[in-house]
Amino acid sequence: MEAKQVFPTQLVILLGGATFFQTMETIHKLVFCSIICFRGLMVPGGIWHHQQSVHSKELLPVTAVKTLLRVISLVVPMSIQGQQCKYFGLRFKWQVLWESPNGPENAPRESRKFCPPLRKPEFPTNLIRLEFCHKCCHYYTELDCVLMYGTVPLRTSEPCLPNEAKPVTNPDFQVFMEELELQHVLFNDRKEGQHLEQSIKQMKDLSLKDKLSTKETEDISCHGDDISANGYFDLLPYEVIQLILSYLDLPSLCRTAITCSLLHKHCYDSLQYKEVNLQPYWTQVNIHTLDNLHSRCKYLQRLNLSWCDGTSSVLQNQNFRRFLEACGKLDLQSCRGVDSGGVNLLCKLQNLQWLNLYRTQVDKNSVIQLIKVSKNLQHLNLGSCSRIQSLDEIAVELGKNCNADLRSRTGFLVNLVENCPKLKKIFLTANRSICDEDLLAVAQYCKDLEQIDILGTRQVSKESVYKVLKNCTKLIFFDLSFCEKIDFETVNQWSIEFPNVDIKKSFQH
Amino acid sequence: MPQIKLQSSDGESFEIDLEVARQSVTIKTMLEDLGWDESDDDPVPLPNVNAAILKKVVQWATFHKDDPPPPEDDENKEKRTDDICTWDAEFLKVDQGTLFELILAANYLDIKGLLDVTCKTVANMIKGKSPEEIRKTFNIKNDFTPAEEEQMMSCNCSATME
Repeated sequence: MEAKQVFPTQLVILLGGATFFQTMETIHKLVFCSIICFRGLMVPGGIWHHQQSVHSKELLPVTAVKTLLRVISLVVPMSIQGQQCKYFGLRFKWQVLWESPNGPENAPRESRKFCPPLRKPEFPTNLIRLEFCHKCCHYYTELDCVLMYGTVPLRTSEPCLPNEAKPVTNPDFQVFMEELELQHVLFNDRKEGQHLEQSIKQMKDLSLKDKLSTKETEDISCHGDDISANGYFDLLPYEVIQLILSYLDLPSLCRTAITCSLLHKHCYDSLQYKEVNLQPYWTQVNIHTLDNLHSRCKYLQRLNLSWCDGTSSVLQNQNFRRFLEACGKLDLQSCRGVDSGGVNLLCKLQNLQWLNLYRTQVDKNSVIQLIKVSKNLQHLNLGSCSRIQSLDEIAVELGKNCNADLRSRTGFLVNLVENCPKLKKIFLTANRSICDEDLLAVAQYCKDLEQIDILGTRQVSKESVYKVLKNCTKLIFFDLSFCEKIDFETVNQWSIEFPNVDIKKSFQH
Repeated sequence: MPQIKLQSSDGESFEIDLEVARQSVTIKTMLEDLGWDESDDDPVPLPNVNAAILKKVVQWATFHKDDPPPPEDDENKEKRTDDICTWDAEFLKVDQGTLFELILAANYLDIKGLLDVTCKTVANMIKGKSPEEIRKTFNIKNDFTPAEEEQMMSCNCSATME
């Protein structure tokens, strides 16, 4: 059954382990049209989260906690509704319903209700995407519930009544929650970027002033010939122009490239493309984008294609593979189009060190194949890969082949740690099968362990956790959220006894 | 507090705290190489910086003298331009000529903090603008031939991203 398309008029978002509603029933009563609801869904992000992966050197100031950045709704053309919705790509149109006017803002670290004022929707929709910025959060933020109120398009004959509210399980009614890197603003739609207009206005003021001061500058232009051709850029040495351009986001860089030949040369310098992050532009990325970038990416080291759903066809493109050959770090997170075929092609990338396949459609066999051939692989994220039923064989293969960080969802731990005593990071988020025996093995073998996450483990006792804390002297991070046998009082005591370890435990009601 | 004299390209002398001057790696190295000591009264010549700009640089360095040393460049770190402190933003409300001369001076004197913040300011003047707006802002001439321009429009990724 399909969720109805409505014109969204109001969105209520409950965050941070909210206590507003005790039961699901209460929520249902409140809903007039449609409901999207998650109970205790954890949205990861923030410095602490990045430190678990490759960004270990990131030191950003803690200025803001997670806040909603944009709400975008999607229109799906009537003719291709239904099944194909799963692979929505460039044919579809997104509209920004709300975005944080000032970028990330401070939000209180407590339960709260948030109702962003939505723009007038241009079309009815049944798909809403929430983008969060949570670079500076201290821990997961819980998203308790998202309610959407809306009006039904006039042509639809059946009215939407409160009792028609769909429960959470309706698969057509999806909300994607993802992290958005701080380069948050797409300047594509000029009308929408308020602060963009402001900055243009400031610029105009500034350029007016410049005109006034041109006379003076002409006098001091003893530097020579033709200062006006490239403005003051003519005065700057090559590396300084490069430094300025290194602060630009990709669209700005591309627009600067077509202003004049001097800046064109600078903007196409391969050194500006050592790291390419296309995630903020996921709605527009297609094979042509990559083809166009190809010539500039000689020194590409890291490519982020997260969310870029057109990726499946991209991976099959010859040019794309050539362009990735030197690339060591590839982020394909949430690219729903990436399946086993795509992974087989990744097997040809010899330099691959870091690969994120979180929430993709890869299967077990292709991943095993990938591990076998990717001798340089150091980091592999297979979280939420719904087509992988069991990670046991993958873990065995990892144990044989490499010293990768492991982020996964199932058990096998004793066997693994015996074979990989140098493990630094173990992430076993929401793996119900971890038991004391596993932890004791960790305490025994993993002397180099720095980070461990056993979130949601019910069987683990205080004694075995204490043993890990005691034995793993290099430990700096221990996630114990939802470990039922570990109470807050104990965690507080441990925090005092082991001041170097950041022990996480989320608040539970 | 020991003092040091700096001399601008147009001959003006500035007497400033040694600690303030040492934020410039160029001056710091020069003093070490020369074996400078407090009794030295000769001004350090800075032939690439005029008095007006040197005055601004000294003003900036004086305000920032107690800052922690700037972190090493880290390739993994995201490049932000929205983290310019209020004082710097106010300080850099100058005409474009002055701004670019400050960049040149910061580069010559090797003052990383000042170079970063001035380059970020220029980047902010570029961000989000159309090519035509960028040309206007910086007084840049479009020197492409119509044929080149057409080719660029078809293959520049901004075309596909918009």
